[in-house]
Amino acid sequence: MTPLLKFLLAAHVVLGLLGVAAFYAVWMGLLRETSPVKFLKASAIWGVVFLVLSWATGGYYYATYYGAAVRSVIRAGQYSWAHNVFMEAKEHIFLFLPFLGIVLAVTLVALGERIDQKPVLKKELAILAGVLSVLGIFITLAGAVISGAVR
Amino acid sequence: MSWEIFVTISHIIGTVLGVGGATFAEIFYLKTDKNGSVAYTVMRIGMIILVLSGFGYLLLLRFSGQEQYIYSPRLWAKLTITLVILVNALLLQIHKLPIKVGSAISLTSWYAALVLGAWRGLPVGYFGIMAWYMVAILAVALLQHFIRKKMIVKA
Repeated sequence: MTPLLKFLLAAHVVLGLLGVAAFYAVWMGLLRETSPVKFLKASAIWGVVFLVLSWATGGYYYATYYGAAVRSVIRAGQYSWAHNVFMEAKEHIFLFLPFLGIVLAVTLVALGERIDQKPVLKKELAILAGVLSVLGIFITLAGAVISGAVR
Repeated sequence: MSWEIFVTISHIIGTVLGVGGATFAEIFYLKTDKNGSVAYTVMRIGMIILVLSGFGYLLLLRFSGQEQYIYSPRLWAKLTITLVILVNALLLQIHKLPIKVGSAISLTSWYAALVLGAWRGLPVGYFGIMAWYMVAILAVALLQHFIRKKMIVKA
């Protein structure tokens, strides 16, 4: 693996973790009785930025290296399910995660201080942030499972 | 400074902040002191550093061709305990868990992560570790109950 690919893989992991942490923070904030509006907006916007950057770095690594050099090693080994189950799931979930994040961030920015006056919408946004966080944690752990199968 | 040293130092700092924060949150809770929120902030910062450096370790294993260690039961037990800490915080936030139970889970989880991190060569599998962890939560909850009772009697 070249230094550039190592950097991209590390950036993909770190940015993805920061993105998931940002949306977990939004989830926690939306569950409060009084919403910390400034914090929610900033956290959601940063979450989108992190996820998009993780998307770009991971996507480049996947398209130029994983398919050619890693997938065949995993599929030929003892843990072929790591690719067949986890990578197949991860690559599809990974594609739409930033879009969910954009929906959440745009809605929070548009609503602003009015969020606490709309309890139904606030609850739905909390569910969306929860879905984003849970899926984010799942694909993070899936990444660890896939990395461990390269042998 | 090599990446390995950087990741190790970060992991230790994250652990120190997390375990220290959890310990002080517990002390503030037992003393019904309102300064607990500072301890929770320290704990959150510790958690972020710990998770980032933990995945830094996984990357180093991947880059050095030691991928077999990524399937270690100790590592997956630590990841599970980290998830328990996150879910516990969430349940406390929505008031679905009594504070005394959440407090015992948080304190035990942070110390369990510390012990697992330090205990290389631990001769127990994943389910064995999780069973001990659950026993430890019960023991801490009981101990906490008795300490609190004693403090109320003294006051």
